[in-house]
Amino acid sequence: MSLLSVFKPSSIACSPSQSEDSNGTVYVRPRYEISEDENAYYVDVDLPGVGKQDVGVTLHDGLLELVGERNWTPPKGWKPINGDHEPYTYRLRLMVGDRVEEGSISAETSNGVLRLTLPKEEEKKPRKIEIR
Amino acid sequence: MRYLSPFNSRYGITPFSGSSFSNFEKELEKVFGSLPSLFDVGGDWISDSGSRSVRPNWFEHDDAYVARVEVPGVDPKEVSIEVGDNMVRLSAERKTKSKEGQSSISYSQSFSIPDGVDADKAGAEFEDGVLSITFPKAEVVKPRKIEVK
Repeated sequence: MSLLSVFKPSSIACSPSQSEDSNGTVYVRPRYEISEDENAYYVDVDLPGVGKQDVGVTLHDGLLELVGERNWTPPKGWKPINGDHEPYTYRLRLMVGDRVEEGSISAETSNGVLRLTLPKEEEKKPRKIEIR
Repeated sequence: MRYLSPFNSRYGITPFSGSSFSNFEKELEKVFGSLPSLFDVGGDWISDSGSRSVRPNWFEHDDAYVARVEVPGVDPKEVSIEVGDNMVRLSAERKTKSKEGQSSISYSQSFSIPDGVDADKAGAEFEDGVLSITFPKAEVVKPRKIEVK
């Protein structure tokens, strides 16, 4: 669990930020918010224009990676008047701490927002060991 | 802790048990123990203001102009689009549930309509958090083929 990742110098203080990999895929970090209650952490990630079928969530070695492909391109005959319309991919990577029950992470989408639910692990209580 | 190891090695730095170093480790735990166990590998934390502006992306095709606006998290029933004199006023409420109860972010934006559209026939669609508003072109503006006789 990399606590120190918090201290990484942050690039720009606003989001989404953008990067490009060697294959030319443009990655955009989506806007997101984290909230919690006594049972779980909730991560709400804005993925406008991304259908349910184009979202992938993986968890590997405590790294939760969310990828959402935004494939919308203007239909034939549509002339863009402003803005950039190349397809891009939303990507968010979060380190998941050891207080999360990794086996029961779930996700659902609604109206262009993906909600990840990360259930909290039962509190590890101090245990008395009997001497026999 | 999944296996037995000296108490002070829990956070990776072992040999100085009882030294000030392990106290430092404990201090760290005190400070970070209360943070959510989620860290953004990419860097910054997102703070959010109560209201957001939304910028439409415009397209033109033979029959209409189309404005696409991103409003993630908004229930399509909570979107209001008012069409006035060459202007469109879009407002939408995004409700989020959290421990503190319901909070909301409002989106609002006014933008002008291109010339030569039939604003009365405007229509809107909503899919995956993207709203697209279509303004059909008035008959006169459509490209017409004029036959040479």
